[in-house]
Amino acid sequence: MSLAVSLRRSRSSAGTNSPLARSRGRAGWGRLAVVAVLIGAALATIAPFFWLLVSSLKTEADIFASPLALLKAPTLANYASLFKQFHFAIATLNSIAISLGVVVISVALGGLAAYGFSRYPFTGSRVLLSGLLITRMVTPAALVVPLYLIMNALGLLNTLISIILGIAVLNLPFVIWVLRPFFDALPREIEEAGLVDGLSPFGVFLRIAVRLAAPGLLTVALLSFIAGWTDLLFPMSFATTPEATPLTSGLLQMQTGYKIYWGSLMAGGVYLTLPTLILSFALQKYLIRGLRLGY
Amino acid sequence: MRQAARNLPPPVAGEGRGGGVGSLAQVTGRVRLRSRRLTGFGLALPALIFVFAFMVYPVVSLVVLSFQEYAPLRSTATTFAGLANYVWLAGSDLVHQSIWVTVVFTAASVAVEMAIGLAIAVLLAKLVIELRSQPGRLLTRLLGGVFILPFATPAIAGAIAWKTLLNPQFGPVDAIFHTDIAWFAQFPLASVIVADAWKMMPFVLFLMFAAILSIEPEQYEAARLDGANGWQEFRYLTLPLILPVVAVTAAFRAVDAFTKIFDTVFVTTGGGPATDTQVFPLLIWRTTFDYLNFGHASALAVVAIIVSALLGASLLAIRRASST
Amino acid sequence: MAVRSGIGARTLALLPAVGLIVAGCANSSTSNTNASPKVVRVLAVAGPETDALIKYAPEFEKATGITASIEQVARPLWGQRKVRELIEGAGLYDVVMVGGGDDNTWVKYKAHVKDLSKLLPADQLSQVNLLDKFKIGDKIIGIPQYYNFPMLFYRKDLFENPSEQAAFKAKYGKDLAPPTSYEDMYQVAQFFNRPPNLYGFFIGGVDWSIYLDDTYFVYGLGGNYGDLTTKQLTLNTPEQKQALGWLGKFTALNPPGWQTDNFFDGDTLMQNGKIAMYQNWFYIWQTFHTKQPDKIGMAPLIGKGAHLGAFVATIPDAAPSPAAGIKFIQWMMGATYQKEQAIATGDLPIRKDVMQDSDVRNALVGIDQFEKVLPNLQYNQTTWVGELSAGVSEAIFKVVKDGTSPDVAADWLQNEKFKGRKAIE
Repeated sequence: MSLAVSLRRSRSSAGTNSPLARSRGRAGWGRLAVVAVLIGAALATIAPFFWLLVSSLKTEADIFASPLALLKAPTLANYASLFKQFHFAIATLNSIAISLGVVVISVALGGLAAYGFSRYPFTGSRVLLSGLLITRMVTPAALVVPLYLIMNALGLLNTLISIILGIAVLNLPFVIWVLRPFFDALPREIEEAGLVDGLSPFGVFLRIAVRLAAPGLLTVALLSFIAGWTDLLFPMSFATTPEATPLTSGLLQMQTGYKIYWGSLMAGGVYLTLPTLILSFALQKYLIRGLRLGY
Repeated sequence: MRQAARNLPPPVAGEGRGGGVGSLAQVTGRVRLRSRRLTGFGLALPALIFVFAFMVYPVVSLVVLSFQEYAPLRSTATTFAGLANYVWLAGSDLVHQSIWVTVVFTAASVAVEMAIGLAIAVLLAKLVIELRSQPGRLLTRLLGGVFILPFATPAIAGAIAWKTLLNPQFGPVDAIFHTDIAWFAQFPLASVIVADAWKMMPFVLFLMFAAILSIEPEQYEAARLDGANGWQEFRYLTLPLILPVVAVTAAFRAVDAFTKIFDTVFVTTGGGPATDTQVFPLLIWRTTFDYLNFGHASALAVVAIIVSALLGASLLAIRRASST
Repeated sequence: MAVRSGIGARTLALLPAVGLIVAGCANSSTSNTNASPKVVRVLAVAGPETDALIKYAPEFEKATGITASIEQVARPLWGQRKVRELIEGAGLYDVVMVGGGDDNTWVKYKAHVKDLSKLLPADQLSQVNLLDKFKIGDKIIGIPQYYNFPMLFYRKDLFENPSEQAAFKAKYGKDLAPPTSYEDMYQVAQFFNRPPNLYGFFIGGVDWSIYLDDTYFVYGLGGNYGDLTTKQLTLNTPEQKQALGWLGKFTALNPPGWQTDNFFDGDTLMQNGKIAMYQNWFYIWQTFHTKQPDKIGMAPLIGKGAHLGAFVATIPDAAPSPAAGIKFIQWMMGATYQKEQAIATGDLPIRKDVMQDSDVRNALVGIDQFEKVLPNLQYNQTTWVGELSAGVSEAIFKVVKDGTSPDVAADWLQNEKFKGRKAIE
């Protein structure tokens, strides 16, 4: 290794002047610098959301009057307006329903399929898996075009089902991709025992594999919930009535083109983000694992 | 169940673990293999049907529609149009410009988030390796929670946050520097790139972080014994070892950025000023819902899907290459 | 057994999820069967005129016993909503408000709306000014809610300032006054262009706002975007080319950030004293002349024609309760509401009798100026204004940003961008 050689040449004699001792001395300051940079980066990462939060607690007049003020007469008026003016109560229910719908479809269908691909590979399963990876890359805006016409023909526009189906079909390949390694890692013996005991493969899946792979399923459920909660394109394209509009497209009401209800917009942004934020912070272990497996 | 597991019979021959014992076992093995395959197919079938119904079939109908003319503002009839939509697409300045904007956006956004994500990952990994104490672990968990925030923020909320941050009248950026630059108006693409890189940085960060952590600590010890400082450590040790992961991550991010950029642009600039930030997904959406020209929109969508398929296939190739 | 209870728990967890989904679907299915109309669903776009509708809707509700559900949609999404109702027949609304200046043509030729000439009483219809603009043959496609059109607003305090007047006279050899030709307007704008505190003019840069400014010049010069008799596009006529030229010249005198501003932002800029002149719908005159009477003045828009601004109430063929829709329109076009609306918003009422009402004439300062412009109102004579206006904006930006010559840009618009297209498609 040329690096080692070149460094050895520059090594001075042992003692307090040795590279190891020197590097240990440097380590103290170096570590401080690293922590400082990381904290700086963390602050920069949090800045946009922090500012949104702070601004959402000001009245609209204060937002314009004192931009840099942090806490000047905080008020919850903007949050109240979300429910009074912008139908946020029903939008919240819609978002929850959509997210849960996506979770149910993704976990049920995805879990079964991932288990099948993992434990019972069949001819063409590898091709299908590669195909699934490619479907993950489909431009959602492109898929909306035919789906809109199909949903219109089926009379499903302005229902939550159409939104759930659209989001789920783009989420499902990702879920299968993430879940398969979880099932791969399970010890086969317990499943074998179940088969011997007379359970069908589906029974083995339901009673054994699911419980053993629970962390993986939780990861996938979390990712699916986030997908359903944060999607904008499908709600925007399929649902136009307040009854079927979730929180994401509901926020668009505040940018009317005539004026922007800044206070409400900010409060709405915070309100929309809080659930996924709390979930992600609490379950970050699962989330990070899911991100890594997904790639 | 646990009790049953202890009484497991020895593995049956014919399941690929040992040699066949006799012709009966071989036949049983083949039968089991076929039923295993059927089982696998059966387990995957619901998902496959779902994807077929709501992705494959729609894409097929999309291709069909791309050879037709259907524009409800003109007439409610659908007429055959041959290659007319594709001819329009090939010659349209609007389309070319949109593709160009999307390419520029992708390149810049991925470059920014890779650079920042990698840098933070390196520093964070250093911290985790060196601080094995309890407060250290707490700090890293806290930092991890903070850095995952942009991922957990819905794209529309992130866009609103950046609109607030960069607003010329009440945004802190302009207030602190005493400027009144309307960032999204005067530097639209750059502002969108910053907002999107902020949102996607966690992906890169955690992938790089995991990759760096998978390098054996002995290598670092050896490097330090040889007197390597931080930068040399990174350049000659860390980077070469994680390069495959970097390549795959960059490829994934590029494909995602190219195909999925919509929310941020729609909420901040709306594609403007004029068509300066009209990325390809936005063009498809606008052609569908504002201009109501489904023939044109279908042709655009087909092109997008072909590009996705090509990018996805290259991604598979890169992934396979870097894991060998 | 432990396994069974595990399954039970899982199923129990799924049930509320399924329940919520079902509830969500049930929630979102809008009933299309209205035995006796209890609700009238109105699709409107966010703006001060819709605020007025909402404000006075309780009077309608008290008189008819029908609840008015007036939905304000954001402008960027209004286009697709209108089309879903009036062409695709979504059947969600009883009354759909369209734009009189831009939607008139496509609603006449393409939309599935009811003929209001048969559904509204003749004595009411005869009171409506300019009703012919909303007729195709004998079919009335909609009733306007109000009339509004652009006027020129200028800094009265600057124009009446003696030192400014002297300086202007010295420089240009004529008196400083509200301009009556585009050349005059340009001179005045240049004179007052003093960045960074004062800019000579303002034109909003977002697609639909800059397109509107284009219409001011195009209609003012006597042109239009399409010809109703030949059905051809008229995008590179001399009037169009001149209009583009003027836009190029005037946007050079804009305050920064104008590219993503709209005319509502222009109102704010004028009130904050940042601009010397701009063109806008005259609804804003009420605000200006009550709050800052000495600072801001109004003059007629230059030229031969002005953009017809109006929300027009239509009843889709697919309306769930057209009877409720008719009642709503009758209230909207009635003398009581028209008077209230005129005083509240500063827009012109649609009724001839209300135009003569003394309270209204007192409230609408400048109404005599408005009456002169009223007969010359124009609307876009193409059926696809959404796509057209985006193309027009592209041409405008070619001139304004890239420095393309107006002639080249106009020819590009007619011969390349919209090659093979017609005004009525």
